[in-house]
Amino acid sequence: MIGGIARDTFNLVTAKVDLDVRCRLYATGGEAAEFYRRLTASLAIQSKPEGDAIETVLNRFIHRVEEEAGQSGETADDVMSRLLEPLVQLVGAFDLLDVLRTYRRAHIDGNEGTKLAVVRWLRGGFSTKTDAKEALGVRTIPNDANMYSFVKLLGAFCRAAGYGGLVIFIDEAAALCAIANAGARQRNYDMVLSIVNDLLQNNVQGVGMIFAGTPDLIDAKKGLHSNEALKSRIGAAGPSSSRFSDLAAPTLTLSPLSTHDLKALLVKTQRVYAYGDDAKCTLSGDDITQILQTHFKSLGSELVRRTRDVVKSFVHLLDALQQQPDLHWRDVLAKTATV
Amino acid sequence: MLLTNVTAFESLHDSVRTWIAAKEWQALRPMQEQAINIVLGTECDLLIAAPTASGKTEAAMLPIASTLAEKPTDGLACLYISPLKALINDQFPRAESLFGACDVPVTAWHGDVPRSQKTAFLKQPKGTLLITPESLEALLMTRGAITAELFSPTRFVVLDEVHAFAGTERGAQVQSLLARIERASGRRMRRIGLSATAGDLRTVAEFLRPQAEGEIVTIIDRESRPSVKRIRGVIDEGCGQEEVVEWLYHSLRGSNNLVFANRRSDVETYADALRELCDAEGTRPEFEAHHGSLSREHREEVEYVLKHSTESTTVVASSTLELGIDVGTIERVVQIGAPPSVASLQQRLGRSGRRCEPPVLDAIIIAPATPSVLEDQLRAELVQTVATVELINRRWYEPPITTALHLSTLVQQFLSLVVQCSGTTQEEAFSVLCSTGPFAQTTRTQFHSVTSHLIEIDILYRYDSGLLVLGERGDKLVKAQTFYAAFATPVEYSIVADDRVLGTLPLTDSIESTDSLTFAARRWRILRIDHDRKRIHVGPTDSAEAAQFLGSSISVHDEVRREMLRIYMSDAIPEHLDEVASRLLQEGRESFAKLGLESSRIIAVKEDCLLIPWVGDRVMNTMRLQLLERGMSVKKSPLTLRVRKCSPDRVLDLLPALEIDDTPAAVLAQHARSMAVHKHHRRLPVDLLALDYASEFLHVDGAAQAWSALRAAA
Repeated sequence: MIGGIARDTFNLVTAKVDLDVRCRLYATGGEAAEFYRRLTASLAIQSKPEGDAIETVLNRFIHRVEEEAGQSGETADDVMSRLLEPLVQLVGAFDLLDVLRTYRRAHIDGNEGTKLAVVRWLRGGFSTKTDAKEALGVRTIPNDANMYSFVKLLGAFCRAAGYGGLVIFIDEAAALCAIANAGARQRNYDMVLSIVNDLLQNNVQGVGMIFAGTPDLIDAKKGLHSNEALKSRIGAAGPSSSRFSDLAAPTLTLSPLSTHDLKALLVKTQRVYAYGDDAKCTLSGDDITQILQTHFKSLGSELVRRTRDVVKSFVHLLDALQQQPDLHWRDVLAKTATV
Repeated sequence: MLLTNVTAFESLHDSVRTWIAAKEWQALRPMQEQAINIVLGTECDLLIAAPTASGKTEAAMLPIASTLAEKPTDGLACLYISPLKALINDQFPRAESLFGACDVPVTAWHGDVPRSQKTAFLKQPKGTLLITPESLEALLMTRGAITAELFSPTRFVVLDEVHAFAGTERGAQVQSLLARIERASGRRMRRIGLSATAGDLRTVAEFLRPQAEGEIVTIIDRESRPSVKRIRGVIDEGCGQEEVVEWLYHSLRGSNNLVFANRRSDVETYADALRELCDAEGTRPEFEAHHGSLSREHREEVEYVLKHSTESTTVVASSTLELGIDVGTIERVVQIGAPPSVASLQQRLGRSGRRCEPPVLDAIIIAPATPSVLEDQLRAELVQTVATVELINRRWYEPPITTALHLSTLVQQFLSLVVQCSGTTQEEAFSVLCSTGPFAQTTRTQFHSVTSHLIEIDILYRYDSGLLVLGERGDKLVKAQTFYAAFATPVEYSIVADDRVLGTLPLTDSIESTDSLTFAARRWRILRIDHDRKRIHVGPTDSAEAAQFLGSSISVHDEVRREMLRIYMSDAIPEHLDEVASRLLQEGRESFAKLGLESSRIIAVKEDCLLIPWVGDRVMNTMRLQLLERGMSVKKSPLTLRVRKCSPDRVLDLLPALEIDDTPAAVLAQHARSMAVHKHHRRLPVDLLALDYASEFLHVDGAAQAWSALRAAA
């Protein structure tokens, strides 16, 4: 939803990356390069909300270059240099400029192979520098060491292409807290710190990041708050129940869905399942309330029960009921409980 | 070339058949044919039990190579787990030759393999991987993220020397590793175990796949070669060791032999003395030492010389050369001192006579000229050796202890899982390790108690969401290279008497379970073991009550002690005893009769009472703790329990109560000097530590039987 607003209202490019053991902000075993690959694969714009929009962004950039060159009488190369001016101090900027020039030439010559190679390079698809050099004549490729620079390049490039910038939604960020090696974990936190510093001090143009994760993420002893510098910057999250929580603070705490919200969600889920046909919705509101209660039988379960699990088991239930319409939902639940 | 069973041979892939043809074998062995039929024809797990050097490795590898040649697998297809690096070095050329013929690459992977080779394999994992359990542990921990991907093509896992794993901490580790891999890859690997014909094969099969749903087929090749066994006695009148060295020098020079000594220090002493003798006599130094504390280069060189050199070599070794490394033709095996166990002597015996010649064993027992302690009077070390050889002849071997909970290894596996998965929850860990894994005897409550304790001592950390990660101390713990091993590398402890350091000794279970030790040619009583400063405090002792001739950590089994009793009660002199050994056996029997031990098992010695129950160490330890629980002062020696300041009558009065003593083993365990035996024992809550100790080292039912036997004899 945030992505939609960002794209539609603010004309931003969005990206979404789920962190896990194979995908981190700092790494030496390819996990940071993987972050970059996932990020570029998920690039979305208003007309392409599902992702994979990097080629469209590229084409829009080329289009803009041609257009401005036509209007001002500059050479296309000059326009490109001017548009990418804000990037020059970034690592890899010259290679990006080279690659974009290559892309433009290939665009004019209709050389699809070269165009594909550029897209591949931008998406971090070259695994060795040798391959990249052979295909495009550039010396750098996005890798673990320069990942963040490339992300900043990408943000600036999105701006140059005429978008407002790049917003990256980093989900499951608590995966960083689960990194087993204490050193590696700290270095990932340090990376978060540099990002937060850059964002707060406006050092970086055209990039915004939203980290989302379970409360483990800001655990005082092992989470981001264990890093003093980070803690002082992102601050303590306001109490989630407070209706006056500061929505402009760096950290927002979302409260879990209440039982009431969950019920509304399940009711809608059933309707989606029935293709919007209310007649096919066999479970009444009371039924759903009771089904929900089965999830909250055990003490403290509201603290650990995840919305995803509740919905998942509800969908399973609907599946079972669809296959055996004469069964009562209680029988189905009783059966699955004994399996 | 004549092959008896055409079908098994013919069912193999062309390239395997070509490979066999080039070997010019006369025929496949029946055991190999059965293995081929089962691997190619069914989906069952398989246990192959056969004597050393009977081709059981090929029995497993032929059909696997054939399967992989038939259906080439992209990725790691076969995992071959072996207990020793040396074994892997030895198997590698054999495996490479066969698998290579089928275009299946083979990679060796253990602590001494260069990193570059490992990195190259991980870049493009393929074929067969020969690996030790410790290296597999390290692989899961350092490459946790790719576990699923790496092992999802894996179809076979071969467990070499599986009998050596069953019932041990390391065995629990292997079971857990396999469970973790199958869990991550979501795929069942066919397990093929290679075992010596030792012991209770049903237990070994159960070990191969605990809680097996499918059938495990067992193939047994009992065809055993006749062997020559001799027991030699040496009477020690001050220079017994020199006499043995002389004998070794004159008997072994000119051929390849293995000499087993029970202690590392003995290995050094004998090897040194033999080399000195070569020097003095001006002969070629052909004696080498081989034990775990020596460098890899040294060990590999010794193995190489033994196998390939045209010049004769004799290696003095500890248990490092016990398992099936092919060391070429060995003329004979010498065992100095009582063998640690029946199974171990059988393994050692199997080292010799690999090519057509029968295995030859010489066991040498040094006995004091003037025996003081009861064990020496009874010539117990000799009789134990005779009993061990008897049991080998009867094909009896110690069964693995199946009651052990292995909680120490559970701690290791828990932490390793946390690292592998980058954090896990308590429920998930319980499900992987306990519900479906190898620690099935652990209850949920016990597991929760382990978790809480580990959190409390900062080894684990729990986030509010329930996610468990390593705590400060856990971080440090898993970083150590030694973490990958489930067993503790023996730590050298200083022996301290009156604040004077006498020297160092590796701390073993046997030191912890006895009261006394022999060091610097004197007998000492253990006063206190200080684990923090790594010191054993000792005091001088009346030598008449202390004895420790069994320098081994393996405790003696009930059956061995029962066999000893049978030997004392008999008149026959086994023909494999030499003259001195026969005389020693006679002396032992005379002492046995003089002490009236045929009819009595409780005798008075001065103010004390001596119990001689003829049971194994597990039961004797239990009996000792039951007496301690009653407030009595008890010393254990190899054969006796000495109850201080107590008359036989008083013991007799106690017997009916002892017979039905139902004090839980875990309560008794708390009287043990140190319950922390295994590596992570110190990281368990004390109640679970007691339970774990009891599950492995105590045997309450056995003790009840022993008490009633004592009563019956009285």
